[in-house]
Amino acid sequence: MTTTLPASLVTLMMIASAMAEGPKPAFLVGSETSADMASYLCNLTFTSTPSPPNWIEGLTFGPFLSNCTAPFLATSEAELVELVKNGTACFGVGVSLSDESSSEVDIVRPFYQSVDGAPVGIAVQKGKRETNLELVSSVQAGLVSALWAGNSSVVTQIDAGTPKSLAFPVAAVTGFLTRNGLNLSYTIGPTPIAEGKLETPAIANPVNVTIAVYKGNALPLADITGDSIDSWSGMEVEMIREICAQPGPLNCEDIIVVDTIDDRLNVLNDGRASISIGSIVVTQSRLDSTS
Amino acid sequence: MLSGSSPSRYPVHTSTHIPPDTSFVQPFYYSAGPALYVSEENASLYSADATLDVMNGQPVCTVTNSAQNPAGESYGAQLIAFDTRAEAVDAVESGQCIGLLWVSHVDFSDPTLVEVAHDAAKNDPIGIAVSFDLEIGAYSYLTSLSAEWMAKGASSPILTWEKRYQGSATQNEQLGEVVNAITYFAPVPPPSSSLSSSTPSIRALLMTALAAIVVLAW
Repeated sequence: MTTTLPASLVTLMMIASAMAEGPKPAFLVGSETSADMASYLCNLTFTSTPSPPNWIEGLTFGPFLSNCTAPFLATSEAELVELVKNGTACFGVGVSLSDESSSEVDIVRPFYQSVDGAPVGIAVQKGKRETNLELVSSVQAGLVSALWAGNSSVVTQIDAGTPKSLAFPVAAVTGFLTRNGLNLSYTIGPTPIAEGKLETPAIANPVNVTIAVYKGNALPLADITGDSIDSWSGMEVEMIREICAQPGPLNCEDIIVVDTIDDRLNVLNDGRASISIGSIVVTQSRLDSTS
Repeated sequence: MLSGSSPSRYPVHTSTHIPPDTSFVQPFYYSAGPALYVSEENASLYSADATLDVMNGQPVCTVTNSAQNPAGESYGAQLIAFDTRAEAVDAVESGQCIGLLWVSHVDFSDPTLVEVAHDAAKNDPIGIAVSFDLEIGAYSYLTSLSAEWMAKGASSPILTWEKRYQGSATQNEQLGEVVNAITYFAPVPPPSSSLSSSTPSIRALLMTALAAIVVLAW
Protein backbone atom coordinates (compact mmCIF):
# COMPACT_ATOMS: atom_id res chain seq x y z
CA MET A 1 0.00 0.00 0.00
CA THR A 2 1.29 3.37 -0.88
CA THR A 3 0.41 6.71 0.58
CA THR A 4 0.36 9.79 -1.56
CA LEU A 5 1.20 13.03 0.18
CA PRO A 6 -1.00 15.99 -0.65
CA ALA A 7 0.65 18.24 -3.20
CA SER A 8 0.52 21.20 -0.86
CA LEU A 9 2.38 19.26 1.81
CA VAL A 10 5.01 18.19 -0.68
CA THR A 11 5.44 21.81 -1.69
CA LEU A 12 5.79 22.88 1.91
CA MET A 13 8.42 20.20 2.50
CA MET A 14 10.34 21.35 -0.54
CA ILE A 15 10.25 24.93 0.66
CA ALA A 16 11.37 23.93 4.13
CA SER A 17 14.19 21.86 2.68
CA ALA A 18 15.32 24.66 0.41
CA MET A 19 15.35 27.22 3.18
CA ALA A 20 16.79 25.09 5.93
CA GLU A 21 20.39 25.62 4.93
CA GLY A 22 19.96 29.15 3.70
CA PRO A 23 20.29 30.38 0.14
CA LYS A 24 23.46 29.28 -1.62
CA PRO A 25 24.64 31.79 -4.19
CA ALA A 26 27.02 31.12 -7.03
CA PHE A 27 28.93 33.49 -9.20
CA LEU A 28 31.78 33.57 -11.63
CA VAL A 29 35.31 33.56 -10.32
CA GLY A 30 36.91 36.88 -11.12
CA SER A 31 33.67 38.72 -11.61
CA GLU A 32 33.73 41.48 -9.05
CA THR A 33 30.38 42.79 -10.16
CA SER A 34 28.75 39.43 -9.57
CA ALA A 35 30.50 39.04 -6.23
CA ASP A 36 29.31 42.46 -5.15
CA MET A 37 25.75 41.80 -6.21
CA ALA A 38 25.78 38.55 -4.29
CA SER A 39 27.23 40.34 -1.30
CA TYR A 40 24.57 43.00 -1.53
CA LEU A 41 21.78 40.46 -1.60
CA CYS A 42 23.21 38.10 0.94
CA ASN A 43 24.11 40.11 3.97
CA LEU A 44 27.05 39.59 6.26
CA THR A 45 27.31 35.86 6.46
CA PHE A 46 28.57 35.94 2.91
CA THR A 47 32.24 36.13 3.78
CA SER A 48 33.97 33.46 1.74
CA THR A 49 34.57 35.35 -1.43
CA PRO A 50 37.92 34.70 -3.04
CA SER A 51 38.85 38.31 -2.63
CA PRO A 52 37.30 41.14 -0.68
CA PRO A 53 34.36 42.44 -2.62
CA ASN A 54 34.16 46.10 -3.40
CA TRP A 55 32.77 47.08 -0.04
CA ILE A 56 30.84 50.11 -0.98
CA GLU A 57 30.83 53.02 1.34
CA GLY A 58 27.58 53.07 3.16
CA LEU A 59 26.07 50.28 1.17
CA THR A 60 27.96 47.33 2.49
CA PHE A 61 25.21 45.24 3.93
CA GLY A 62 22.44 43.85 1.85
CA PRO A 63 19.36 42.96 3.82
CA PHE A 64 17.48 40.88 1.36
CA LEU A 65 18.62 37.33 1.99
CA SER A 66 19.52 36.23 5.45
CA ASN A 67 21.79 33.35 6.33
CA CYS A 68 23.38 32.77 2.95
CA THR A 69 25.85 29.96 3.04
CA ALA A 70 29.30 30.02 1.48
CA PRO A 71 29.04 30.66 -2.23
CA PHE A 72 29.94 28.35 -5.05
CA LEU A 73 32.47 29.78 -7.40
CA ALA A 74 32.04 28.92 -11.05
CA THR A 75 34.86 29.12 -13.53
CA SER A 76 32.63 29.49 -16.55
CA GLU A 77 29.14 30.64 -17.31
CA ALA A 78 28.16 27.13 -18.32
CA GLU A 79 29.29 25.86 -14.93
CA LEU A 80 27.42 28.69 -13.24
CA VAL A 81 24.23 27.74 -15.03
CA GLU A 82 24.81 24.07 -14.21
CA LEU A 83 25.19 24.86 -10.49
CA VAL A 84 21.81 26.55 -10.57
CA LYS A 85 20.17 24.06 -12.88
CA ASN A 86 21.02 21.03 -10.76
CA GLY A 87 20.07 22.79 -7.54
CA THR A 88 23.57 22.98 -6.09
CA ALA A 89 23.21 26.74 -5.85
CA CYS A 90 19.95 28.51 -5.03
CA PHE A 91 20.73 31.31 -7.42
CA GLY A 92 23.50 32.32 -9.77
CA VAL A 93 24.67 35.88 -10.22
CA GLY A 94 25.91 37.04 -13.59
CA VAL A 95 24.12 34.91 -16.15
CA SER A 96 23.94 36.51 -19.57
CA LEU A 97 21.10 35.92 -21.98
CA SER A 98 23.73 35.72 -24.70
CA ASP A 99 24.85 32.41 -23.29
CA GLU A 100 22.98 29.48 -24.79
CA SER A 101 22.80 27.66 -21.50
CA SER A 102 20.82 30.53 -19.97
CA SER A 103 17.67 29.05 -21.47
CA GLU A 104 18.02 26.16 -19.04
CA VAL A 105 17.34 28.43 -16.07
CA ASP A 106 15.01 31.31 -15.25
CA ILE A 107 16.44 34.81 -15.02
CA VAL A 108 14.90 36.90 -12.28
CA ARG A 109 13.77 40.29 -13.49
CA PRO A 110 14.76 43.05 -13.61
CA PHE A 111 18.19 42.51 -15.12
CA TYR A 112 20.87 44.46 -13.34
CA GLN A 113 23.49 44.72 -16.05
CA SER A 114 24.13 44.29 -19.71
CA VAL A 115 27.39 43.32 -21.35
CA ASP A 116 27.94 43.67 -25.06
CA GLY A 117 24.26 44.40 -25.47
CA ALA A 118 23.09 41.25 -23.72
CA PRO A 119 21.11 41.54 -20.46
CA VAL A 120 22.75 39.97 -17.45
CA GLY A 121 20.82 38.87 -14.42
CA ILE A 122 20.40 36.45 -11.56
CA ALA A 123 19.41 32.92 -12.47
CA VAL A 124 17.27 30.54 -10.49
CA GLN A 125 16.30 26.95 -11.18
CA LYS A 126 13.30 26.56 -13.45
CA GLY A 127 10.15 26.21 -11.38
CA LYS A 128 11.82 27.85 -8.40
CA ARG A 129 8.99 30.30 -8.03
CA GLU A 130 6.65 27.43 -7.26
CA THR A 131 9.01 25.72 -4.82
CA ASN A 132 10.62 28.71 -3.19
CA LEU A 133 8.70 31.86 -3.92
CA GLU A 134 10.26 33.51 -0.90
CA LEU A 135 13.73 33.20 -2.36
CA VAL A 136 12.73 34.47 -5.79
CA SER A 137 10.75 37.33 -4.28
CA SER A 138 13.66 38.32 -2.08
CA VAL A 139 16.06 38.34 -5.01
CA GLN A 140 13.64 40.48 -6.98
CA ALA A 141 13.18 42.90 -4.11
CA GLY A 142 16.94 43.15 -3.81
CA LEU A 143 17.29 43.89 -7.49
CA VAL A 144 14.64 46.57 -7.33
CA SER A 145 16.36 48.16 -4.36
CA ALA A 146 19.75 47.96 -6.04
CA LEU A 147 18.50 49.65 -9.18
CA TRP A 148 16.27 52.33 -7.79
CA ALA A 149 17.37 55.93 -7.69
CA GLY A 150 19.28 56.29 -10.89
CA ASN A 151 22.89 57.30 -11.03
CA SER A 152 23.54 56.75 -7.35
CA SER A 153 21.93 53.37 -7.25
CA VAL A 154 23.73 50.46 -5.69
CA VAL A 155 24.30 49.03 -9.14
CA THR A 156 25.97 52.23 -10.23
CA GLN A 157 28.24 52.19 -7.23
CA ILE A 158 29.15 48.58 -7.76
CA ASP A 159 30.03 49.52 -11.29
CA ALA A 160 32.14 52.43 -10.11
CA GLY A 161 34.24 50.03 -8.07
CA THR A 162 34.77 47.65 -10.92
CA PRO A 163 37.91 48.01 -13.01
CA LYS A 164 36.15 47.36 -16.29
CA SER A 165 33.24 49.61 -15.56
CA LEU A 166 33.20 51.05 -19.05
CA ALA A 167 31.56 47.86 -20.24
CA PHE A 168 28.66 48.46 -17.92
CA PRO A 169 25.95 50.72 -19.41
CA VAL A 170 24.58 51.68 -16.05
CA ALA A 171 22.54 54.57 -17.30
CA ALA A 172 20.59 52.26 -19.55
CA VAL A 173 20.07 49.75 -16.81
CA THR A 174 18.98 52.17 -14.13
CA GLY A 175 16.98 54.07 -16.70
CA PHE A 176 14.82 51.00 -16.82
CA LEU A 177 13.51 52.13 -13.49
CA THR A 178 14.12 55.83 -13.39
CA ARG A 179 12.69 56.76 -16.75
CA ASN A 180 10.52 53.94 -17.99
CA GLY A 181 9.47 52.40 -14.75
CA LEU A 182 9.39 48.78 -13.81
CA ASN A 183 7.97 46.53 -16.43
CA LEU A 184 6.36 43.98 -14.22
CA SER A 185 5.39 41.82 -17.17
CA TYR A 186 9.02 40.77 -17.35
CA THR A 187 8.98 39.28 -13.91
CA ILE A 188 8.52 35.64 -13.20
CA GLY A 189 4.88 35.48 -12.33
CA PRO A 190 4.57 38.28 -9.83
CA THR A 191 2.48 37.25 -6.88
CA PRO A 192 1.38 39.85 -4.37
CA ILE A 193 2.39 39.12 -0.84
CA ALA A 194 -0.37 38.41 1.59
CA GLU A 195 -1.43 41.35 3.68
CA GLY A 196 0.49 41.42 6.89
CA LYS A 197 3.01 38.83 5.85
CA LEU A 198 5.95 40.98 6.77
CA GLU A 199 6.86 40.80 10.38
CA THR A 200 9.29 42.78 12.40
CA PRO A 201 11.77 41.03 14.67
CA ALA A 202 10.61 39.93 18.06
CA ILE A 203 11.14 42.35 20.90
CA ALA A 204 13.35 41.26 23.73
CA ASN A 205 15.82 43.77 25.04
CA PRO A 206 15.29 47.15 23.42
CA VAL A 207 18.35 48.82 21.98
CA ASN A 208 18.99 52.38 23.10
CA VAL A 209 19.32 54.74 20.17
CA THR A 210 19.56 58.45 19.54
CA ILE A 211 18.00 59.61 16.30
CA ALA A 212 19.02 62.69 14.34
CA VAL A 213 16.80 64.61 11.97
CA TYR A 214 17.61 67.67 9.91
CA LYS A 215 15.92 70.90 10.98
CA GLY A 216 14.57 71.41 7.50
CA ASN A 217 12.84 68.04 7.55
CA ALA A 218 10.65 68.72 10.53
CA LEU A 219 7.98 71.33 10.95
CA PRO A 220 7.70 73.81 12.48
CA LEU A 221 11.18 74.96 11.68
CA ALA A 222 11.12 77.57 14.41
CA ASP A 223 12.13 76.67 17.94
CA ILE A 224 11.77 73.04 17.17
CA THR A 225 14.27 71.93 19.75
CA GLY A 226 12.13 73.38 22.49
CA ASP A 227 9.02 71.45 21.55
CA SER A 228 7.92 67.87 21.84
CA ILE A 229 8.06 65.75 18.72
CA ASP A 230 4.30 65.44 19.12
CA SER A 231 4.01 68.92 17.68
CA TRP A 232 6.29 68.25 14.73
CA SER A 233 5.29 66.97 11.33
CA GLY A 234 6.91 65.83 8.11
CA MET A 235 7.77 62.56 6.42
CA GLU A 236 10.89 62.01 8.47
CA VAL A 237 9.04 62.85 11.67
CA GLU A 238 6.42 60.22 10.83
CA MET A 239 9.25 57.73 10.44
CA ILE A 240 10.71 58.63 13.81
CA ARG A 241 7.30 58.09 15.38
CA GLU A 242 7.10 54.64 13.80
CA ILE A 243 10.61 53.70 14.80
CA CYS A 244 10.11 54.87 18.34
CA ALA A 245 6.62 53.43 18.70
CA GLN A 246 6.07 51.76 22.02
CA PRO A 247 6.52 48.97 22.64
CA GLY A 248 9.31 48.58 20.13
CA PRO A 249 12.72 47.01 19.80
CA LEU A 250 14.36 50.41 19.81
CA ASN A 251 14.34 52.63 22.85
CA CYS A 252 14.63 56.17 21.55
CA GLU A 253 16.68 57.86 24.22
CA ASP A 254 16.90 61.17 22.45
CA ILE A 255 16.08 62.93 19.20
CA ILE A 256 18.60 65.43 17.94
CA VAL A 257 17.67 68.19 15.54
CA VAL A 258 20.68 69.19 13.48
CA ASP A 259 20.98 72.59 11.86
CA THR A 260 23.04 71.79 8.81
CA ILE A 261 22.87 69.20 6.09
CA ASP A 262 26.41 68.08 6.83
CA ASP A 263 25.57 67.44 10.47
CA ARG A 264 23.08 64.75 9.45
CA LEU A 265 25.97 62.36 9.05
CA ASN A 266 28.47 64.12 11.29
CA VAL A 267 26.35 63.10 14.26
CA LEU A 268 26.91 59.47 13.37
CA ASN A 269 30.64 59.96 13.12
CA ASP A 270 31.06 61.80 16.40
CA GLY A 271 28.77 59.43 18.27
CA ARG A 272 26.02 61.89 19.08
CA ALA A 273 23.49 59.68 17.29
CA SER A 274 23.33 56.17 15.89
CA ILE A 275 20.50 56.74 13.40
CA SER A 276 20.04 59.71 11.09
CA ILE A 277 16.97 60.09 8.94
CA GLY A 278 16.79 61.96 5.66
CA SER A 279 20.24 61.78 4.15
CA ILE A 280 20.71 61.76 0.43
CA VAL A 281 23.29 59.35 -0.91
CA VAL A 282 25.74 61.09 -3.16
CA THR A 283 28.94 59.31 -3.90
CA GLN A 284 32.16 60.86 -5.07
CA SER A 285 31.88 58.90 -8.31
CA ARG A 286 28.48 60.48 -8.90
CA LEU A 287 29.88 63.95 -8.29
CA ASP A 288 32.84 63.23 -10.53
CA SER A 289 30.59 62.04 -13.31
CA THR A 290 28.54 65.20 -13.33
CA SER A 291 31.23 67.77 -12.76
CA MET B 1 14.50 79.73 12.47
CA LEU B 2 15.64 80.17 8.91
CA SER B 3 15.03 83.86 8.63
CA GLY B 4 13.24 84.87 5.50
CA SER B 5 12.98 81.32 4.32
CA SER B 6 9.80 79.52 3.54
CA PRO B 7 9.34 76.46 5.68
CA SER B 8 9.46 73.49 3.40
CA ARG B 9 6.43 71.32 3.77
CA TYR B 10 8.44 68.48 2.41
CA PRO B 11 11.80 67.05 3.41
CA VAL B 12 14.71 69.19 2.46
CA HIS B 13 17.28 66.77 1.20
CA THR B 14 20.56 68.02 0.01
CA SER B 15 23.93 66.60 -0.49
CA THR B 16 26.34 64.76 1.64
CA HIS B 17 29.19 62.35 1.33
CA ILE B 18 29.01 59.05 3.07
CA PRO B 19 31.43 58.73 5.98
CA PRO B 20 33.35 55.47 6.04
CA ASP B 21 31.65 54.22 9.19
CA THR B 22 28.13 54.74 7.96
CA SER B 23 25.67 52.41 6.34
CA PHE B 24 22.25 52.98 4.85
CA VAL B 25 19.10 51.05 5.54
CA GLN B 26 17.50 49.63 2.44
CA PRO B 27 15.24 49.90 0.66
CA PHE B 28 15.73 53.64 0.46
CA TYR B 29 12.48 55.42 1.17
CA TYR B 30 12.75 58.21 -1.36
CA SER B 31 14.79 59.79 -4.12
CA ALA B 32 15.31 63.26 -5.48
CA GLY B 33 17.48 64.99 -8.04
CA PRO B 34 18.49 68.45 -9.20
CA ALA B 35 15.63 70.80 -9.95
CA LEU B 36 15.14 74.45 -10.81
CA TYR B 37 12.65 76.51 -8.82
CA VAL B 38 11.51 79.93 -9.96
CA SER B 39 9.24 82.58 -8.53
CA GLU B 40 5.52 82.08 -9.07
CA GLU B 41 5.22 85.03 -11.45
CA ASN B 42 8.01 83.70 -13.67
CA ALA B 43 6.79 80.11 -13.77
CA SER B 44 4.68 80.79 -16.86
CA LEU B 45 7.87 81.57 -18.80
CA TYR B 46 8.74 77.88 -18.82
CA SER B 47 7.04 75.17 -20.79
CA ALA B 48 5.69 72.10 -19.07
CA ASP B 49 8.43 69.97 -20.58
CA ALA B 50 11.28 72.35 -19.78
CA THR B 51 14.60 70.73 -18.94
CA LEU B 52 17.51 71.96 -16.85
CA ASP B 53 19.08 73.17 -20.09
CA VAL B 54 17.19 76.41 -19.44
CA MET B 55 19.93 77.18 -16.91
CA ASN B 56 22.61 77.29 -19.61
CA GLY B 57 24.46 80.58 -19.36
CA GLN B 58 21.99 81.92 -16.79
CA PRO B 59 22.64 83.05 -13.21
CA VAL B 60 21.21 80.45 -10.87
CA CYS B 61 21.15 80.71 -7.09
CA THR B 62 22.24 77.82 -4.94
CA VAL B 63 23.77 76.95 -1.59
CA THR B 64 27.47 76.45 -1.04
CA ASN B 65 28.55 72.81 -1.20
CA SER B 66 25.17 71.59 -2.35
CA ALA B 67 25.46 68.23 -4.09
CA GLN B 68 23.27 69.62 -6.83
CA ASN B 69 25.95 72.13 -7.81
CA PRO B 70 27.94 69.77 -10.06
CA ALA B 71 24.73 69.00 -11.92
CA GLY B 72 24.06 72.72 -12.24
CA GLU B 73 27.51 73.29 -13.69
CA SER B 74 27.04 70.44 -16.12
CA TYR B 75 23.99 72.27 -17.45
CA GLY B 76 26.04 75.44 -17.93
CA ALA B 77 24.47 77.41 -15.10
CA GLN B 78 26.35 80.37 -13.67
CA LEU B 79 25.99 79.42 -10.04
CA ILE B 80 25.71 82.06 -7.34
CA ALA B 81 26.21 80.31 -4.03
CA PHE B 82 24.84 81.50 -0.69
CA ASP B 83 25.49 80.22 2.79
CA THR B 84 21.88 79.33 3.50
CA ARG B 85 18.85 78.34 1.53
CA ALA B 86 16.98 81.33 2.95
CA GLU B 87 19.50 83.72 1.44
CA ALA B 88 19.30 81.95 -1.87
CA VAL B 89 15.51 82.14 -1.89
CA ASP B 90 15.68 85.85 -1.11
CA ALA B 91 18.07 86.29 -4.02
CA VAL B 92 15.60 84.60 -6.34
CA GLU B 93 12.85 86.90 -5.12
CA SER B 94 14.99 89.97 -5.68
CA GLY B 95 15.87 88.91 -9.21
CA GLN B 96 19.56 88.23 -8.74
CA CYS B 97 19.13 84.93 -10.52
CA ILE B 98 16.54 83.17 -12.63
CA GLY B 99 15.83 80.59 -9.95
CA LEU B 100 17.04 78.32 -7.23
CA LEU B 101 18.91 75.06 -7.86
CA TRP B 102 17.65 72.60 -5.26
CA VAL B 103 16.57 69.01 -4.92
CA SER B 104 13.29 68.05 -6.50
CA HIS B 105 9.91 67.52 -4.83
CA VAL B 106 10.22 70.32 -2.31
CA ASP B 107 7.23 72.50 -1.49
CA PHE B 108 8.35 76.12 -1.27
CA SER B 109 5.70 78.44 0.05
CA ASP B 110 5.88 81.91 1.57
CA PRO B 111 7.39 82.91 -0.74
CA THR B 112 6.22 80.43 -3.30
CA LEU B 113 8.77 78.93 -5.63
CA VAL B 114 7.66 76.61 -8.39
CA GLU B 115 9.63 73.66 -9.72
CA VAL B 116 9.88 74.14 -13.48
CA ALA B 117 12.53 71.56 -14.45
CA HIS B 118 13.98 68.44 -12.92
CA ASP B 119 16.45 65.80 -14.07
CA ALA B 120 15.02 62.53 -12.80
CA ALA B 121 17.91 60.59 -14.31
CA LYS B 122 20.16 62.22 -11.72
CA ASN B 123 17.95 61.30 -8.81
CA ASP B 124 19.81 60.10 -5.74
CA PRO B 125 18.44 57.78 -3.11
CA ILE B 126 17.41 59.16 0.26
CA GLY B 127 17.44 56.94 3.27
CA ILE B 128 18.11 56.26 6.89
CA ALA B 129 21.79 56.39 7.75
CA VAL B 130 23.08 54.33 10.64
CA SER B 131 26.36 54.08 12.43
CA PHE B 132 28.39 50.90 12.09
CA ASP B 133 28.21 50.70 15.87
CA LEU B 134 24.49 50.10 15.74
CA GLU B 135 23.55 46.56 16.73
CA ILE B 136 22.81 44.41 13.72
CA GLY B 137 19.43 43.50 15.19
CA ALA B 138 18.43 47.14 15.26
CA TYR B 139 19.65 47.50 11.68
CA SER B 140 17.52 44.53 10.66
CA TYR B 141 14.53 46.04 12.40
CA LEU B 142 14.94 49.29 10.47
CA THR B 143 15.29 47.31 7.25
CA SER B 144 12.09 45.45 7.94
CA LEU B 145 10.31 48.67 8.88
CA SER B 146 11.47 50.39 5.69
CA ALA B 147 10.13 47.51 3.63
CA GLU B 148 6.82 47.64 5.46
CA TRP B 149 6.48 51.34 4.71
CA MET B 150 6.57 50.42 1.03
CA ALA B 151 4.91 47.03 0.94
CA LYS B 152 1.24 47.85 1.01
CA GLY B 153 0.68 49.14 -2.49
CA ALA B 154 -1.46 52.23 -2.85
CA SER B 155 -2.04 52.35 0.89
CA SER B 156 1.66 52.20 1.75
CA PRO B 157 2.57 54.66 4.52
CA ILE B 158 5.32 56.19 2.42
CA LEU B 159 2.81 57.20 -0.27
CA THR B 160 0.41 58.47 2.36
CA TRP B 161 3.12 60.60 3.93
CA GLU B 162 4.23 61.98 0.61
CA LYS B 163 0.68 63.01 -0.20
CA ARG B 164 0.23 64.51 3.26
CA TYR B 165 3.36 66.64 3.23
CA GLN B 166 3.82 67.26 -0.45
CA GLY B 167 1.90 70.52 -0.53
CA SER B 168 2.30 71.99 -3.99
CA ALA B 169 5.48 70.08 -4.72
CA THR B 170 5.68 67.67 -7.60
CA GLN B 171 5.21 64.00 -6.91
CA ASN B 172 8.21 61.68 -6.97
CA GLU B 173 7.93 59.94 -10.32
CA GLN B 174 9.70 56.78 -9.14
CA LEU B 175 8.15 56.23 -5.77
CA GLY B 176 4.93 54.62 -6.90
CA GLU B 177 6.77 52.20 -9.14
CA VAL B 178 9.18 51.18 -6.42
CA VAL B 179 6.39 50.81 -3.90
CA ASN B 180 4.57 48.66 -6.42
CA ALA B 181 7.62 46.49 -6.94
CA ILE B 182 8.41 46.15 -3.25
CA THR B 183 4.76 45.31 -2.62
CA TYR B 184 4.89 42.50 -5.11
CA PHE B 185 8.37 41.31 -4.26
CA ALA B 186 8.74 42.07 -0.62
CA PRO B 187 12.02 41.13 0.96
CA VAL B 188 12.16 38.31 3.41
CA PRO B 189 11.84 39.77 6.89
CA PRO B 190 14.93 39.37 9.01
CA PRO B 191 14.99 36.44 11.41
CA SER B 192 13.02 37.01 14.58
CA SER B 193 16.11 37.20 16.70
CA SER B 194 15.98 39.12 19.91
CA LEU B 195 17.80 42.38 20.17
CA SER B 196 19.94 41.55 23.14
CA SER B 197 22.83 43.63 24.30
CA SER B 198 25.13 40.86 23.13
CA THR B 199 24.01 41.32 19.53
CA PRO B 200 27.12 42.15 17.50
CA SER B 201 27.38 45.51 15.86
CA ILE B 202 27.77 45.96 12.14
CA ARG B 203 31.37 46.97 12.76
CA ALA B 204 32.09 43.79 14.71
CA LEU B 205 30.64 41.62 11.98
CA LEU B 206 32.61 43.48 9.34
CA MET B 207 35.81 42.93 11.29
CA THR B 208 34.98 39.23 11.51
CA ALA B 209 34.37 39.12 7.78
CA LEU B 210 37.66 40.83 7.01
CA ALA B 211 39.49 38.51 9.39
CA ALA B 212 38.00 35.52 7.61
CA ILE B 213 39.15 36.91 4.28
CA VAL B 214 42.66 37.41 5.60
CA VAL B 215 42.73 33.84 6.86
CA LEU B 216 41.54 32.57 3.50
CA ALA B 217 44.20 34.61 1.76
CA TRP B 218 46.85 32.89 3.85
